[in-house]
Amino acid sequence: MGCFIFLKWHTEGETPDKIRKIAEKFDKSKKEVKDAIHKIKAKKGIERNTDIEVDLNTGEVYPKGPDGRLGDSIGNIIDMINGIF
Amino acid sequence: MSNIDWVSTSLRISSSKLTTSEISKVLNLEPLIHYKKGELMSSRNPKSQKFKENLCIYENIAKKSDDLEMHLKKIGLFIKNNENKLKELITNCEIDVYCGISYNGGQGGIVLNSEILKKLASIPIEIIFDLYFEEDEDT
Repeated sequence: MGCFIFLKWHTEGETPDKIRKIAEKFDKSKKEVKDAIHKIKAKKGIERNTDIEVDLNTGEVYPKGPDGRLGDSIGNIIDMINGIF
Repeated sequence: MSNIDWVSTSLRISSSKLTTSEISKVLNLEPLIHYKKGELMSSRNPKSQKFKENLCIYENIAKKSDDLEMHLKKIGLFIKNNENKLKELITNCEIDVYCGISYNGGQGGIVLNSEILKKLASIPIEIIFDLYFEEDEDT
């Protein structure tokens, strides 16, 4: 059930990869969002230069695989913007 | 005129053998950010990925206000000045330069001159560029 809801969020486009949408949702500047995403992607161990999507409800950041599927979270954009590494 | 509005450059050192404290001790420099092997990548999400290695991120070698060339010059100089320490670390660590660049427009380029390249190549490392471009307003 939980898994079903998770997939539904993503198919409904609640996890955009557009900086502007993420910035608007969390009331932050695009610069702050880019900086936070860059810091989250800096965590080694995740696939290199992977694209990401952000869950607009929770702020969790998911890596996007070559097949378009999302992997497990690699960080939280709200925490990163607030300096919680 | 540069169309770059934001640059961030880090030296990343990861290891499954050395702790973050041991890495810092060799370099005599505290990382701005460090993570331990096994730590959750999102502390609020128990299902998030875990770090596979200890990781030090030295983001404080260049200043935020520096331009791209100065970022890479300072990282290159740091590598050159700490060549022996980094060569000691590289036997047990992976080292790379992680560079984020945000462009104001939809196009952008990077020039690495020979002086910078020589310094960066003092030790066998990779340079990774993470690029951000201005998005179309209608997307």
